Formats: sequence, C-alpha cells, structure tokens
Amino acid sequence: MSGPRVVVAMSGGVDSSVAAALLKEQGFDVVGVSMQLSPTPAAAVAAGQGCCSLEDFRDARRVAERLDIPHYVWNLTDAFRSRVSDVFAAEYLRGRTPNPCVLCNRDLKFDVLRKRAGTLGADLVATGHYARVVREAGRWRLLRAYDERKDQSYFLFSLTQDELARTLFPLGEFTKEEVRTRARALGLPVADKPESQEICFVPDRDYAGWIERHAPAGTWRPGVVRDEAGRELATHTGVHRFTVGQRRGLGIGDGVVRWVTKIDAVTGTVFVGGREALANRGLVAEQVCWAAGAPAPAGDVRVRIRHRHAPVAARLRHAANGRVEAWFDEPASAVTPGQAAVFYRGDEVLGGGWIAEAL
Amino acid sequence: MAVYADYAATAPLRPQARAAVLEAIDAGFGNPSSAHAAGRRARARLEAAREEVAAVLGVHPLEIVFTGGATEANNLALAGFAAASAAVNRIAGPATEHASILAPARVLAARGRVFVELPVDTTGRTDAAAVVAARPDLLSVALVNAETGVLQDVAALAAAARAGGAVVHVDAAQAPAFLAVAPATLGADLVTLSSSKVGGPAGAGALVVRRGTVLAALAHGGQQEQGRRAGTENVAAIAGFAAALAVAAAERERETLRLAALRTRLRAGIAAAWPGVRFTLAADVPAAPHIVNVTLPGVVGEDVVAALDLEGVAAATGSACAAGAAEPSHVLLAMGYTAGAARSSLRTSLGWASTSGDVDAIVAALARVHARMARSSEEAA
Repeated sequence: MSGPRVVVAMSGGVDSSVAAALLKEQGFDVVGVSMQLSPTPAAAVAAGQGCCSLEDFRDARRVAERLDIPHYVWNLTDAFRSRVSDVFAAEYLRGRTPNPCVLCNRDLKFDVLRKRAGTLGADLVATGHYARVVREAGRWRLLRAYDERKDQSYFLFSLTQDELARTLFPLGEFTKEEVRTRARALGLPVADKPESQEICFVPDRDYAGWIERHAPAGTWRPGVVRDEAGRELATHTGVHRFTVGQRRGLGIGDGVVRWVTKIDAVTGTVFVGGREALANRGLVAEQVCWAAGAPAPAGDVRVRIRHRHAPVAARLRHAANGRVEAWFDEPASAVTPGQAAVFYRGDEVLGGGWIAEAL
Repeated sequence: MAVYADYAATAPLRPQARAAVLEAIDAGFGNPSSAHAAGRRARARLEAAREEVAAVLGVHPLEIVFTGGATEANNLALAGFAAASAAVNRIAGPATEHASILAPARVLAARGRVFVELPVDTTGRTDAAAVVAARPDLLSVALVNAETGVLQDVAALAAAARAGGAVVHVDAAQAPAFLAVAPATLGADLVTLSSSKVGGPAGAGALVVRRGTVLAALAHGGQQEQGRRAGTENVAAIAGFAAALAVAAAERERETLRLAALRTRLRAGIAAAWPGVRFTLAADVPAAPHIVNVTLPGVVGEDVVAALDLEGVAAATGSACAAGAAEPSHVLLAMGYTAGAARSSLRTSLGWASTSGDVDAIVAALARVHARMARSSEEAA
C-alpha cells in the first residue's frame, strides 16, 4: 500500500517535476495538480511564454504520465486575478513595488490548493520550492535551502505553523544541478527546460505595459520627477513606471546618473538622487506574520529586503499596530516599499512583512 | 475496481467496432479514390460502411457525408450552410447547445450573420414559440443534451422552423443508442452523428445531408464525400463507426429499458450517498436514459471528479470540450442556475457495457468522497 497522499503543485518545470518524482520514490501517494492562472492559455502561448501556458500544462502531463501519477488542471483564474494580479497592479499604482510570488504562494498554493487537496483526501501539499521545513522542539521551523543560490525561503515567509505542518519541500537539500541530474536520470522530458525567473504573468517583463492593459483607465496620471532639492527634472506618465533603485528610463537626459529614491503616489512625484541617497538605515514592515509561530523578540536578526539580497544584520523593534521596525547595523541600499522584508535567525525564517517605508 | 461512467464523452469501443476496424486495416491499404485494385478494395469497404449507416437512418447512401467527428459535422452544418448562400442570415439554436454549435454560430455572427440563442426553461427545453420568434433560416438543435440528457421536442421545433421556410439541423450525437435518428422521423434536413459516442473509434462521424439541401464544402481540394468534404477518408475508423452504429440501433429498445433501470438505481443511490444533492432533471422530464446530472451544493464539481478519479471512477463535470477549463456549465447557466451552483455539477453517463455492479461502485465511491469532503470542510471551518 502507498503512503500518505500528497498533492504536488506541478508547473511543468524541472523543479516541481523532480519534487513529484522524489515523493513518489519515498512512497507517498502522489497526485499532481497544475494551476491554471490565466483565463486564456492560448493567448499565453501566442505571446510565447508564461508559467500558465498550454506548453507547461503539456509538460506537467507528460511528467505525470512518466511518473505514473494522476494529474489534474485546476482553474484558479478568479482567485489569481483577485488575490494576485489585481493586487500587483494596485500596488504599482500606489507607488510600491509588489512581490506577486509571495501572494501566489500564500493565497493560492498554500491556501486554495491546500483546501482543495483536502477534498482529494490529501492532508499534505508539496511544491518544488528550494526551502526546508523541520520539526524541532515542538514546532515547525522554515529553513533556508542548502543551495544558497537557489534558496526561495524569502517567498514563503507568510506560511503559518499549521501550513508548515502540512507542507513538503522535497528539494530543500538539493542543488539545482542535482535536480537536473535527477531529472535526466529519471528520463523526465523537462530535464533541460530553461528556468522561469520573471513574474510569470508578465513574460515580456514590461510591467508598466501590463498594468496599463489591465488596470482601469484613469487609475494612473502624469506627474513630475524631482531631485531632493525639489527641482523639477522631468515629467512622467504614471508612478507605476518607477521602482525605488531604478536608474534607467527616468526621462531626464542631462547625463547625470540618478536613482529613484522615493515615490509619492498621492502627489504623483518621483524623487531621484545620487547613490548615497539610496542608503537606508532601516525599514518599517507591516502585516507582519511569524512563520516561527510567535513574534521574534526584539533584538538581533538578519533581514532580507528582496529576493537574492544577502541578509543584513539588524535589530528588531516592535512598533504600534503590529508594525515592526528593523534597524540595520550598516546602511542598506534601496529599501523598496511593497517588497517583503523577511527576518532570519541563522537558517531559520522567523517571519516577515511588507515594507511600508524606509527609515 | 475501475468504473467508466463518462460515455457521453466517449464510449468504450464495442467489440463489433473493434473487429471492423481491425478487419479494415488488415485488408490492406489503398486510397478509395484510386483507380486500382487496392483503391477499389478501400472504396468497397467505405461504401459498405456508408450503406450500413444509411440503412440505420433510412436515407440514401449518398446523403451520408463522413467527417472526422461530430464537431466537424456540426461546423460543416452551420458554416457550410451559411457559406452556400449569402441570403442565409439568421441561425437559431437553444442556448444549451454543444460548443461545436455555439462556437461556429458565434463566428458566423461575428462575420455579419445573426445567431439567435433560444431561451430554455428550467429543464433546458426550448419551445416552438421561441423558434417562430427567432425567424431562422437555419435551426440547429440537439436531440439529446450532452450534459443533462434532456430531450428537445425536435419534431415540434422542426415543424415550427419549416413553416417559416427554415432548414433544420439536428445534432443527434448522443442519441442513436436510445432514440430513432432518421431524418424523416426528426423532420431534419441535416443530422450530425458521432462514432465515439456510440462505441466506435474516435475520429469519425457523419453529417447526413438530405437531398436538395444546399451545403458548401469547408475543406477544399478533393471531390470526396460528394464534394462536401475533401480529403482521403479514414476508412478503418468509418468501418468501425458503421459497425458500432448498426449495433447501437439494433439494440436500441432493449438498451433503452436496461439503461433506464440502471438510471433509477443510480439516482436512488446518489440520493442516499450525497445528502443535499440536487438532480438537474426531475425523474419525469423526457430524457435519454444514460445521463445523470446533479449539482452538489457547496463543492466544486471539478474536485468531485478528481476525487472520484482517485477512487477509480471516471465521471465528468459536464461536457469535456475544453481540457482543463472549469468555466461553469453554460447549459446549467441557461437553465437558470447561478454560477456557483453550475460549478458544482457532476455528470455520470453510462452505456452499452455498464452494469448494475458499476452503478453500485459509483454510489459507493461517491459516498466515500462525500464523507471525506464533509470532514475536510469541517476542518477548514
């Protein structure tokens, strides 16, 4: 007889394919599920890419067939729109730089998907994320992956203890190279499939263009670009075209190198300055949640302020309204409102929140 | 034990169809249009199949146009009819028609023709008054709805359409195992048939085109099928189709009674296994006997189908037209269901190889799935 039933979120990529294969080897009763996130997969194919394209469904099906596991495509289009892509657009229009992958994990993979897995008799959900979950001293600890270059724990900070208890990350102790080697050894048709790095529903990376096609007209308006002295340097068509730390496309054209340091969506003002103006002493995080099960005590942690950012030493301070301040030991560059701030102690993700403002 | 309860999507191959397919393949290759012995052998097989199908339908063999399936036949009926005459302006059909009717009709509408979706009542049936009001040049109506099994009163609808001078197309893909599908009985000029729905191989079907009906070809490049469908015929699949259709027609009365008894047993079982279940059709609504469509309050039909699959039972939410799509059933929406209720639909469909043991296994699996879903929704709450 087979072991516990687990639903594996299969994107059609090599990571989730190998995750499914590993679980099957370990004796789990594996059920593959692909999430349909775009209402028109044909359009995604026509556009050439995107993680919800028909090509990816086809790959996931072929892998499932190869592994001899059942596979279903679940239409999560409505949930994806309301909880991820609409939020993505709204955040940019508020002058922030969102991280839709965190939302997709929290609200789709580890919420909708997990609930629906229950209807299939599966208490467990697995993904191809590079991260680890271990049980120690009566609680679940979310840990960074062994492969530091691939570590995706940043995207998972919002998982609760209850969710961690029912989640498997089979790739947490593998390197990417080992995963590809394993895929080849298993004869999986996706072994050499290229990495999908970018935001899956904006395959051409033109976020501003995507927002202008999807957000209601009139939700963005022109504004000005100013330096720190308040001097007007240029005009722009909307704050959604900017992100803190951006250097190109500012439309100034006087040959001086400047970076976006702050965005004020209320007045439509984009502030620019020299590199030194990007240095921040800390950040304020809101909607903070604690994967570790309880708020981390005030004190020393390491904080990661964007994916692939090397965590920096900081001191936590609990503020009003559930907000948390993180004061960096050394200034960090380009703290970006809308991105996640994730708190680590050693390898463990203590929790995290959304960056409300830089300090 | 694996149980197949998705005959409305595709029926298992009947042994007689399998034998006919293999016989046609083993008899050797040959293009039916070729002027040599191999071609003549293929032609003989094709024409024998045409005669077999024509006999079932009570039509002349040359009124049969073999196609690649019912979807192609439906497309040919609508687009071929429209293409034949610029005077054809108005097409009408119930809002509950299969996608292979609705989609080509909407394409024609986008190109300047008019498509009138006829309203249906809460059982999914339209009426003659709606047909008259639509003033169609072409009426297209399914004899048996593929999702619910409901029967349209085709004779009355066809008569109303004809009185206004319209041509009548009947999609009979789901019907031949249970109902007479002769165009003369239906009052139809065009009739769609499917091979895979009657236990033949997929990839074959037919459009019956009564003599005198104007219909242009959509595929050009050969004079096959009376000039109405260019391309070398799939002789082996057509041979299997003809054999399956002949058996289905011959066993029709007995099978109708047998399936009706199975349906009664299945309805009773489902009612006991799933408290709160809503049967889409009351027991006294005229319907083909092979389909039981239900809605299951508070759950997503897709999830029930997956859960049943893991229990070894093959069922469906509705029509399997779009792989992976979980749009609410347009059939149930047209019948007045809310989108949420329509998403909770489950369709089981039985056929020639189904047994009472299958019915009991379906019911037992549903009971297990219900128990699990009730438990998991309690935990989520």
